Amino acid sequence: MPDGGHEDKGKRLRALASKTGVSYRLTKHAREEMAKDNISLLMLRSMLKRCAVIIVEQSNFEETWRATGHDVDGNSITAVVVAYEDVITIKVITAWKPRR
Amino acid sequence: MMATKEDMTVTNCADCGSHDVRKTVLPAYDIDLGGIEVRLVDCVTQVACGACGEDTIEIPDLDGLSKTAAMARALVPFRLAGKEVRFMRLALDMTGREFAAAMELTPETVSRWENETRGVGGSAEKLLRHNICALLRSKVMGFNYDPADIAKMRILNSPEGFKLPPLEFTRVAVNQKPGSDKAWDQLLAA
Repeated sequence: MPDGGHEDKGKRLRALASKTGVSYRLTKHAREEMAKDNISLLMLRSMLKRCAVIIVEQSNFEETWRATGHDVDGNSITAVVVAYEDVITIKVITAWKPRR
Repeated sequence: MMATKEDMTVTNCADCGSHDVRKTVLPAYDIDLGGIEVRLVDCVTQVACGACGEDTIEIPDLDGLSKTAAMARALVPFRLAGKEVRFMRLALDMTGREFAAAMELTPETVSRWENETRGVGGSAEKLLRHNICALLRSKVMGFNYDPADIAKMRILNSPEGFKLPPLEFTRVAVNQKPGSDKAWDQLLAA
């Protein structure tokens, strides 16, 4: 899986997604795109537990990570997220199933 | 949107930086977790920006919620649909093969159940519900469950056009959970 040189962030995101009690913040855009691509929250969580971070970008006020991987059933999913490790929360900016 | 229970002003919008941001705990929020629809009462926070229109909702402890919802559905006597069996497997974070091994089934049987090419069936469905609850019991702190409820259960076929109403949950205070003082519990009709 491509890691884009962000192995450490991938490891941190996988650890955060695997923690007990992690909360999910979903933007309006993420909710719309996930519904469009039939991605459930459990599929997304499953992917994040196994993901690689391939792109790191500075948006207006936060650092966003593009995470990609497969859920437990092998569905390929990509998501742009913000990891709030201090409050055990993941914000999902958007998520989609990459077209082949 | 329903009337809000609580309004609090928060810092600023993560998108546009505006201070015109309202944080609200929604009295009820319905969501399809992927096979099971739930209504979350007094526990989903919405952050809405008056300047850019962004609105973000926060669902606490998704892992605990999915496990509690899987147990709660296992205790509802209507026959499990394929998507509900899949939801339960995902709540356990298991592949089809792992789930089949845990339930002492073949992966093909699990696949047929999930894809509804074959229904689960009476005694197998009771065993499945027992096993799901047994595997999740130690991980779900706020939810009471008696194995006898499944043992005594008469599994019902859903009437034509019937749709199970959303299972309702809220956050409750618990003492036992490491790292947290809250867990999910189901709200039952009076």
